[in-house]
Amino acid sequence: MKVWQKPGFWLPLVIVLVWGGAVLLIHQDTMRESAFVLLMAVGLASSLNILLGYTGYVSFGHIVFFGLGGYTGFYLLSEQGWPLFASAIGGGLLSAFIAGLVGLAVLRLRGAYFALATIGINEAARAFVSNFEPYGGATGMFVNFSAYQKYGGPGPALWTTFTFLWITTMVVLVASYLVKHSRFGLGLLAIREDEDAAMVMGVKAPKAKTITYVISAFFPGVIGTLYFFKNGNIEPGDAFQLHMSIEMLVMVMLGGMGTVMGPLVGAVGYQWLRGYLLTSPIFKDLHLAVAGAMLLVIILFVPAGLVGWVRNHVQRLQKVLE
Amino acid sequence: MKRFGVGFVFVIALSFIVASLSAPPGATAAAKTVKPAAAAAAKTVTIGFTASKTGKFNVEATRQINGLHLWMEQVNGAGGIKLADGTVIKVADKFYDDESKKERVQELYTKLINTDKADFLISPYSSGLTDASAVIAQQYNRIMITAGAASDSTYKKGYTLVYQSYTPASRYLTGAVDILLKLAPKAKKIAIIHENDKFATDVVKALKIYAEKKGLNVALFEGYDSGTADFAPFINKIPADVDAIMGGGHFADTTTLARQLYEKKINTKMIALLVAPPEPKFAELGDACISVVGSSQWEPLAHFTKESAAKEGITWFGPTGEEFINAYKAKYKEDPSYHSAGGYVAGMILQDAIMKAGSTDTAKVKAALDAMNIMTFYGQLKFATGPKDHGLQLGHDMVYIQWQKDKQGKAMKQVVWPLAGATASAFVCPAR
Amino acid sequence: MILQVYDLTKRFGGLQALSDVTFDLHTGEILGLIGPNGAGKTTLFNVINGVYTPERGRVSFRGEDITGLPSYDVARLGLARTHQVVRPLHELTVRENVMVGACYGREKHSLKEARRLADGSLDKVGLLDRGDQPSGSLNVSQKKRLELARALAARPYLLLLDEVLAGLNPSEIASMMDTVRAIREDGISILMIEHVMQAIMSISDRILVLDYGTLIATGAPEEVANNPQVIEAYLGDPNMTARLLAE
Repeated sequence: MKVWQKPGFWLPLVIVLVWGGAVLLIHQDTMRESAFVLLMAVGLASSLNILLGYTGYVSFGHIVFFGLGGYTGFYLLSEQGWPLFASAIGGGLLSAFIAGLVGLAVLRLRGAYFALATIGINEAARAFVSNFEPYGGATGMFVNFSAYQKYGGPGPALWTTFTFLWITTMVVLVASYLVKHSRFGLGLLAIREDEDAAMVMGVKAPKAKTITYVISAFFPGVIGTLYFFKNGNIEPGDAFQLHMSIEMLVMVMLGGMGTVMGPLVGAVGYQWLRGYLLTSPIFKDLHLAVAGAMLLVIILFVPAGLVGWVRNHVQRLQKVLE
Repeated sequence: MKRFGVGFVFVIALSFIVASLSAPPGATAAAKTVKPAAAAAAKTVTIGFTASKTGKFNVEATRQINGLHLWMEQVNGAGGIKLADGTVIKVADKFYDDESKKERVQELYTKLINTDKADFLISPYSSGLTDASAVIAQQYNRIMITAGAASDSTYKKGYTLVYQSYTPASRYLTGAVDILLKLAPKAKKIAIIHENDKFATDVVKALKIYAEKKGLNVALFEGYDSGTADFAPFINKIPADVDAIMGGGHFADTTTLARQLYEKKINTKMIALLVAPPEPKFAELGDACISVVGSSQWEPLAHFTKESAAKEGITWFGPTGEEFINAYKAKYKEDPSYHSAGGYVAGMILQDAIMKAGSTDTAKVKAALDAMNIMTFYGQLKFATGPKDHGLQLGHDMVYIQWQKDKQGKAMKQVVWPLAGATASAFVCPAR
Repeated sequence: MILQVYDLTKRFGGLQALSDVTFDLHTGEILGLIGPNGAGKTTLFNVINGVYTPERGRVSFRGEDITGLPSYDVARLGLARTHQVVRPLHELTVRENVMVGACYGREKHSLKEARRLADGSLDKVGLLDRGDQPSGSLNVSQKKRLELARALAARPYLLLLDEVLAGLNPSEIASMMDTVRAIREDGISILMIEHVMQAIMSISDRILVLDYGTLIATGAPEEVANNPQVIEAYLGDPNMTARLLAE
């Protein structure tokens, strides 16, 4: 069976394809902004899931790749005059490279030690960038408003950015599926279940983990560049926010880790809920409390996440939801 | 799945939730949407903004919004803004919580413009959030008055519709150099110790340039990480014969720095620090606060009057300082801070520009803003109009205070600069 | 000679887990490894297949020195093992578990071939009809078989079996023994740790006896069972020897 015939592969893709396509067709700015926030969350959560869901390694400071990649992409774009697309790829590659270097060292650690180390990496990156003059040091960098003229003015520039993000998100989902359903991915799942047993069966755990870390670091770098370009500036305080890392984790857990569909459902659900509570007249003063309580309930009673729960309870949907 | 990892995530998720539950809910009563009574002849303009009702900017942003709401209430209470052609403009507002985070600022401003049909925008609190919102304002051709956004860089990006009500960061401490040179004309050497974040770095970079232009030698220029609690390594590096120590960052670290400078008996002619000195809580330092100079966007003590405006040949606009303070105290049962004044003034700027333009049309109001040069209880307001720094505040100056002892020997703030608004004269830091 | 172990020594802090263990394993042989609890049997397995690095000594497998190689490299050379305490990959199905063995074992199969191979191994251990079940849902005896199938799917030259009979009832033991014999018929050499004496005595070509990390006897089952040192250290009761050999 070709991958195209598997609903687990095309279902999440088609959802994002139709969703982004509809936004582009309707061409309404408010819709685009909401979709941007949601797609960004989907992209980040799915990237994290490639590591968290498939190897079981909890990368707590995963936002560091969003920050470092975003910084590098932004630097290429604003200081070196690279086009957006090339800058975003550049940002992603730097993140991937850093992940490769760091991964060799920290992926020896397991469980909470690994999670704590990733937080340390995030803080170290923040401290480094705050003192790194080419990246603007503590004050960060900005793009002149005229930079958007290259893309036909700020309006079209934001649409271009959205389109890139949309494509990136789909690429993340494809990557997520392909990793999971490859021979390589089977090795990762074995590592997740029992790393020592996996190694005894011949899985080269250190190498496999590092490659996975690199893959899951690449996409946040790309997304970071797009996000900061859209915002027009970048500062250390915005690029390495631990709370965004935690939100990524929560989204993955909400949707169901280790599934392709889970991060999509979790990210959209979480961000939609937050957005709704934020602008709802009844809840707008209570939104954090309501969101927090709901998360608590889900983590306590549906630990497999929404998609995981459905998969476990509805036999027929097992093949549809990967 | 590794149980350890899951348990760890669970604990952190839980603490995340607890943290979010205990986040301050914000001043609910004050934040209700203010809707004027519909009047048949009146036109209503909607002012849109995001407010940091939760998160780290909660306190400052709430005061800023309180100021703005006081202004709205007064304008609508007086029957609205009356234009030359007889139209009466009432103001309404629409705002969302930005959680002190950048992620949704652009989404919310787009929504404010497209869905809520906001005619004018006020910025969120802080330069970072303002940067994100300004892109959207400019894109949709909406005028945005910024409050609480001191950073210069926002106004150097080529925006044409963003106007700053605060004195920019580059002039936050430059007045201290002027005070120093007046106190000690022979001063030669200063030391700068600053927090290594965007705001403080922006301030001291400009300070250094200004000091050097004035012939001073910056003998020490050191940044410390946010959250530093022990300044001994920095203080030890200060040369013995410096004439002034300047810098600081935010409240907690700056207060600690001031105390440790006192405890280490550092002798110098002047200490000028950011943010902390204008806060009433700074007095808790006791003797360590005496003689410390600080700058503030506005002080209740500062005297900008119709008379002082007339003397400089500038038009006066709006209430007197006293009127503002009394109205604010009556409504919110607390003293206004400069954040409150900033929010109020952002509204006043719009009001004056709409009146002068005789219209709510963006192009006409923009022309009025570009031409604006008024004096208010908050100080002078005038914007740069060149292509390089359009919208940067030029008229407004920082007010410098110094902690002095009153007759009973109690510490109290006195305005010492600019001389026009001074309530006492500055004095040289006594030997410690 | 498929495996040569020479002078192997392993220490954990002050505990001497293995001292100067030396033995050979002939191609096609079933070599039994017995000894009291804590004698160092599982440690010996762990040192052979690279989970632990020995302080001293040498392990060579099919003429190649594999001392200190990481366990995944050892596995890829064709040395598979099962665990005393079963370690199924809980959230994967039974078939996926076995596929891991096939994909990452000696022959490095693609997913598609691995699936075919996995079915073959599952058939051999009698678990084929449970292929789609999550491995966590199997009972102990089935999990033991799963361990075995996983190791077989790697197409190893040498199989290390760590107490595959423990916890099984007599009929299950009998059928597992048949499976082990069948594996040897396929040309796979076997080194097995076992506590079920009748079984190990009847199935092994030779027996190694480990006590306090030292090899105290090597030889055919009858020789070992009659070795006074072994009887003292392990069997304790001379009458028991007779019972063991009666089978």
